[in-house]
Amino acid sequence: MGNTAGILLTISTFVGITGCTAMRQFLLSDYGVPLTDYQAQNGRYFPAFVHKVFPSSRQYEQDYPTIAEARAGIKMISVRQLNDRPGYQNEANLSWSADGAYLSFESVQGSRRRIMVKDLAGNYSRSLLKLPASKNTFLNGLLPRSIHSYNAGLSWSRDSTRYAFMSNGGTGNYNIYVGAVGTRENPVSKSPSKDGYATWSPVKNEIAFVSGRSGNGDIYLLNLDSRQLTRLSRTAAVDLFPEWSPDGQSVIWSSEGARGHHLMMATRTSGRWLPPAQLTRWHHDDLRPTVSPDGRYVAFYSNSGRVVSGRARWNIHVIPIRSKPWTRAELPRMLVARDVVVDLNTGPAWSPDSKRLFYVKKDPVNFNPIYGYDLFTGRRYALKTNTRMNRDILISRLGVLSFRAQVGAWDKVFVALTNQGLQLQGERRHPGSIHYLSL
Amino acid sequence: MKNKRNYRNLWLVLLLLPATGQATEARRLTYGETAKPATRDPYTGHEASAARMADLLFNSLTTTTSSGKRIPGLASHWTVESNGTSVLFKLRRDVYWHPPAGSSKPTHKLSADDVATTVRIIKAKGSQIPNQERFQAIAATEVVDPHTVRIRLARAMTDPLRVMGFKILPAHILASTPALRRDSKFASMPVGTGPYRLLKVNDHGEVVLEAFNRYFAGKPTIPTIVMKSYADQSVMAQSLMFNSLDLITWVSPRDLSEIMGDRNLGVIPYDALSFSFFAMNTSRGILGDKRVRRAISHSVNRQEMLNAFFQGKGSLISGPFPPTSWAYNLNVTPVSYDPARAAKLFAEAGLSHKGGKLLDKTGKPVRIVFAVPLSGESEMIKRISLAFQGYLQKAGIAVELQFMDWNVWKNRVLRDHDYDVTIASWSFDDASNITSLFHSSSAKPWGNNFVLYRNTQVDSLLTEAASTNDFEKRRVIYKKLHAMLADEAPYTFLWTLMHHAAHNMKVSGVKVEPWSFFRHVATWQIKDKPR
Repeated sequence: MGNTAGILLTISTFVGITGCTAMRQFLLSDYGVPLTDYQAQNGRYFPAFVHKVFPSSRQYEQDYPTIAEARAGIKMISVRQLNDRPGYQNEANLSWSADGAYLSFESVQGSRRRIMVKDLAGNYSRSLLKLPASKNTFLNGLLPRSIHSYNAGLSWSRDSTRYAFMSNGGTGNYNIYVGAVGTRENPVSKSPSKDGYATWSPVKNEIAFVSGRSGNGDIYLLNLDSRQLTRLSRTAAVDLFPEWSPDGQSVIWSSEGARGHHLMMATRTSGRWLPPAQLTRWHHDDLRPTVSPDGRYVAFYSNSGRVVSGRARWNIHVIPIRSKPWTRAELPRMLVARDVVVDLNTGPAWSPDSKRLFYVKKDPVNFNPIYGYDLFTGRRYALKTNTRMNRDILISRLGVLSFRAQVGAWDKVFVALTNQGLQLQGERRHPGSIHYLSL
Repeated sequence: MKNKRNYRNLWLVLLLLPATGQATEARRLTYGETAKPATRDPYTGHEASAARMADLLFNSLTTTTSSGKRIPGLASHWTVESNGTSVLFKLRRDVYWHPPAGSSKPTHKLSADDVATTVRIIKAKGSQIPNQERFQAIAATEVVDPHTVRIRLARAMTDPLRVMGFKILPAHILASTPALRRDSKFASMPVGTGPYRLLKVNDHGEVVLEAFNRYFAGKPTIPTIVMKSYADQSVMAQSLMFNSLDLITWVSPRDLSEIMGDRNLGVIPYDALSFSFFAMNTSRGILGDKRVRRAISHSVNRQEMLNAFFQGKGSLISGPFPPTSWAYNLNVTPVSYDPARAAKLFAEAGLSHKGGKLLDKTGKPVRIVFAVPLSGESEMIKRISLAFQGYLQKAGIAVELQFMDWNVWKNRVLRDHDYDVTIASWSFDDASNITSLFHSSSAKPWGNNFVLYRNTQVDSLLTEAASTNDFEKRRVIYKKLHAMLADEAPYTFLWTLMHHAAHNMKVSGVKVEPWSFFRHVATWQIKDKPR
């Protein structure tokens, strides 16, 4: 148990920072890109490029002249389709850079899946569609490629200029590629088995990812500076969805095989990774954990809901991170949302201040609307986006909610400006304990 | 919990890291299902996964090849008697039942009593068998001798073997059982004659099967098969992609491209033997006019929906059969997406446009109620319904989507016919019999003709097709019916989808059949060496 005590000590220190000043320092200086270049003031809550994308944001600033008014509740300021030109392809899986200035999304045309990288202001755009190196043979262009290029799962670096993603390179071998805004991308992992689900450390040039090289899908870590590889999990079944804690010292993922995934966490102390510890232990499937930006909580999907037509509905649970597993006696009490649509691309979306969760309600009559849940007041907000069949929710540091929704027959990416940005919400103390529902 | 020694040598140079891990255990095939079969016998389960498991554990008297040819199964040969009212089967003499638990030596051989017991049980009122009415055509059995059995039918049939594909149960276990129940020991630990025997269900809920060394068609090549069930389809697909599974029986459209992009995986398409459609209640207002129904079909961009929702993995259809059916008429082209043609047809039917709205003959805006069934976790029906609403909105028609649970939908649509438009699919066996779908005698509560379509000429043709024993004549009639129904448009015929299984390339010789997924499993092979 010595190792476990080490994990506990780290987390205790970590969650001890709750005061107003300390929180600000924790969020703005220690993790991610500091927002020193933009500070909200009364009547001015958004940088210029946000005004450009969402012109009605200026009106919001006039309507709510003080920060106290502007940040109250969850407000939907403006919603728009990211690419409003008609197109015959599905879009999905939008990802924000740490500073909220860049974004990426996936575009599916036929069997090909490409990643579009853009900045929100509309000055930069790049399509990531990795193809095999050209071979000059007389058959070029005459024979169809049997393997299409598939590129997905982009994750931004802490400095918001670099990114990692999965690509089969058009050759049928999935590897992790790393690129930077304005440059080309290169593979950084080379394995005959699949590598995917890359996620960039919030503090270092380090990528956690899933690899099939172990034979059954385990969590690995790649240090991009030293090129050293570390294997974090050693289970007999597949481990998926790695997520970093914001201090970059822990990785959390879903583990195990059929029916009964639980959450695991590996923690590094003094540069050394301790054996993974189990976070949840019950008979339900716990999938796609997301760690709150303050590092205190994990939200995840679990099929702990009522059984309909022989299948259990999915709920969202939130657990504080601790060194021993949450059990079947405790987890039913840690429910925050019922009957949700599972998004394995993104997981439940945390607001930048860790106070609220955003998710899609499984509600066919209203075409799966988006909800926000305030964990500390217990108030639930139905967000009026006027979109239907919503999925893949994320929220940027500046409070821009992104999701996909159905337009005609196609899925399109939408962005919605809210008052949930850290520049508006970030300086407040957490007002107590989480309001849980009961199963 | 691993000890510290395991973590000492974790730091490895990336480019030197070989694929040192052990892939899913060699000589063992692990496959994934999205639904855990509640029972493992061939009859009491309602999940497709249960039917697939029955292919591993049991056999039928005969089987059907993908080209529709009947071939011997447990019966070595057969004779259709009395103008199709009975069939005399001669059973193989080399068929053993799986040995009892804890033993590797089989104790019982197949006999005619097994067939008689099976027929008794599948017809027993107390048996908990979904769609038990499918056995109505079977009347009785007559054990002629231990290796010969006659099955009598309730009526003469052109192709009586069509209803004889049921799996045979063991009399030495079930002879004194009045009915088959879901909670019976046999339903959880069944004994069959198939290529694999059920060994155990382990603590993780995985079903472990062992190759039956006395299997009459030869001992299977792969010694062990393990079935794992998953709550989420994508997690199952990822388990295949990261080598934790060797095969999955179904790939969801959203995962197909990623799997097809992996050179280590093989994808096997198989025909779903079904088609989807928008059903139009022909007894409701303007939907009684075939010009309106055709106009609605022209208003819907079916190819776009097929591309958007299913990555184009299917075929648009022009009539009431899957394109692979012998009854499909290839000379009938699918209805095109043609809003201009739709507008013209609406006008011919006396409807007019004003302010972007379609008005009926009395000048009222046309409004349609779409009954949307909700079943399971699938979002696809909702998405298709939403797209339909959008297409008809462009045509000036307001569509009210009314979502309802499956049981409510059945009452509203099948019993009360209280709807304008709905969406559904029909699945077929190889007989492709559409009589109940469009014959006016089925236009009644709980009848399959829930669009209440009535056409005396179609009735005559359906009756003629059902009464003839001349297969070629039936084919000609069905092709004519196909053309007529395409023109009459009681349905907007949508598409037939291709299903896909996927497997690691270390599994070779994989061949699947739509109605019998694991029929060829005994000849599949798996490489010893992990990839």
